[in-house]
Amino acid sequence: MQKKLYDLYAKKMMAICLRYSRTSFEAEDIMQEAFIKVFKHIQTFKGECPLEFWIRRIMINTALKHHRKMMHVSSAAENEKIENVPEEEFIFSGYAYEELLAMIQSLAPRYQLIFNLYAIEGYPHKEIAAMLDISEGTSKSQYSRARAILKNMLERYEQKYNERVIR
Amino acid sequence: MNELSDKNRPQKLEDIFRNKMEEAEMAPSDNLWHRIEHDLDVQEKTYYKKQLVWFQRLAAACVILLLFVGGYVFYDHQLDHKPIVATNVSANETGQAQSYPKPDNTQQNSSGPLLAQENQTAKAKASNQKLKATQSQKNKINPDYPSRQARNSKKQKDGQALEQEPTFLALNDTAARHNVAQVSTAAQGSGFEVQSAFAASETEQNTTLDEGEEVNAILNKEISMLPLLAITNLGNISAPDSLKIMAPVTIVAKPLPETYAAAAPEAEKQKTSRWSFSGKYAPHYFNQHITLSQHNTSVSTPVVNNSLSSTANSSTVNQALEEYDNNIQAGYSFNTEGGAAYKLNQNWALETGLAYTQNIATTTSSYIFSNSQVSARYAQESFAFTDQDINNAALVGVPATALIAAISGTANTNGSNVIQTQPFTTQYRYRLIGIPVKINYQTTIKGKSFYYASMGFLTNLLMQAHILSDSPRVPDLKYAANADSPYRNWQMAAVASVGKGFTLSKNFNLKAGLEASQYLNTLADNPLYLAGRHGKPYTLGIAVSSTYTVGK
Repeated sequence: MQKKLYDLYAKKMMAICLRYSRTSFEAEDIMQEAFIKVFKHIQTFKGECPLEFWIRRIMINTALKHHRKMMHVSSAAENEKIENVPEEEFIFSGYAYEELLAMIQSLAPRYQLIFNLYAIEGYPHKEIAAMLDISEGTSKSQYSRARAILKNMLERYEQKYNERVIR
Repeated sequence: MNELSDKNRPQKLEDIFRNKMEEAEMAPSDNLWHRIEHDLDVQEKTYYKKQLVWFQRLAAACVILLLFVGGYVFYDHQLDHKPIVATNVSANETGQAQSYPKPDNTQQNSSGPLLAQENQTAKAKASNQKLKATQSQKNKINPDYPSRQARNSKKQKDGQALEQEPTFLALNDTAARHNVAQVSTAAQGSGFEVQSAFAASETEQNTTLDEGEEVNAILNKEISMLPLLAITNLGNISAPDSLKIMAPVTIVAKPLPETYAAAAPEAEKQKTSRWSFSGKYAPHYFNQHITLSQHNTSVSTPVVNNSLSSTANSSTVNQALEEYDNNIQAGYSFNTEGGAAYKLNQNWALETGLAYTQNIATTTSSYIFSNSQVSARYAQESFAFTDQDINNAALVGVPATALIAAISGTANTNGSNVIQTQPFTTQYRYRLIGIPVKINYQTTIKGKSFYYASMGFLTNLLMQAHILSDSPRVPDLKYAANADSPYRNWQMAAVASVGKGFTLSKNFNLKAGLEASQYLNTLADNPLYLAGRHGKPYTLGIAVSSTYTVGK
């Protein structure tokens, strides 16, 4: 039964864990811990939401806990100024998943966390601030910084791609 | 611009990442499931292990509780029966059976022959009189009463009635409670026979009663306590006759009158229980009995791997060791016990229970012993120790005081450095839980006071050995009862106390006296590590205790 559940969700959850970690080893550690929690508390699942969503939330919470442990290693500074990065649109859409994942993983842990929570999971800054025990302003500023870094990466990636195509 | 750009509409940065990430799937490595499975197994085993331990503890607690309750009920039950036996013995031995008529038919059965054979007093006749009356009552129920009555009368005259009528007496005993109603029924149903029975026995009764007024007085006393029912239901039987007939029956059902019980003081004394429960508090002076510096040594002790003096500056080491010897002081120490005692006889009792002991010694030191380069660095800088550092004390050799460095052996002394610092206070706190087994002697002086003396053994488990330092450079060390501790886990001690006690009430008494204990083991697990002398700790103190004797 446990194995079936694991097989059903392992791939999707691994993808989530990967973007909250820097290496696949770290992602597997998070996933291992999270799946044990899933099996331990499965009887408390009341069906109020889809099971996948419930498991996904456990994965994210475990990743957050994991990050909190490593937080002293984090180099992101508090209260950075919010950078006004224009929300320009990207015409190019041929990015490979692996490339995008590598970009997220290359962010500083705090940036990585906030970008994942805000841009992908869709949490508002207020909730992110509460989760990470930081101010809302810090969450916003760090997100804008993370976004600026990723934008540069995307632009460089697109530029390289275009150069290869022209040649 | 290029082919890809042309066929795709513009997207925001967030959309690009969200779209790709939400759809993504990545297979984890194959062995991840095995790791999860293994963790689940371990967790399950741990869970069951914890459950098992919990149930074991519960079972142990239940067994102990059952033993206590069973023991109490057993002795309580014995107490309930002892006085009755004692009364019989006492009454027979002291001849009180001759002073008072026996109220119990069973007692009559046993004392009857004595009465018949040893004297022919009016009391013996009174006893016989009661039997006759009882027989008459029985005859009312049996139609063949004339022949039996005649037989019984004859036998009683020979003084052998009790021996020859055991069946009758037994019947009488069991039927006693129903006799009132039976008398009434029999009297109404067969009036003639009853009248005859009374007529047949009346002569003898009158004769015997005339012979002893004392008996009559006692009987009347008993008769006056007859239930009203018995008197009113007797129908056509004349009141005096019926009362006389009923007298033995009624006496059988009655409990032992107070006057008889009071006449047996020895039996009353036996009611005091042999069991008592006590609580004790004993503040004491505690001496670790450890000398670190060698020149104070009066007994030559072999030194094994004591590298303190070889690796560090020997004069500094000696100064540190001497400083310990000079500054060691006793802290607030005490012993408290709760237990039960079983009285062997009037003076001797066995005691056991549960003891909690806290022994404290304090020193003021200005030297820190560090046993590795890492710990030396810690000691020289202001450094916050993590739990991991403390747990790995034996490996990294965290900075410690002279005593800990000395008793910890090679793991803590190899390559040690001695650093002089600001004086700081260290408390050595030992908490022990043990089981005492003692024998107690007690003798009454006068009135309510008594002397006591006790001695025995105390088997202690050193639950905690905490070395608490007020220096930020020396972390607190906390050893439990396990192999990591440099202290001996099991600490045996001989205990003796002497003092005076006061009886506050029938059940309570208070004791106060001196108490001393001598440990039979050294404090450190391996005293050979010490260059100095490692004696066995001892305590001297004052003990105050109160005892509650279980009894009615």
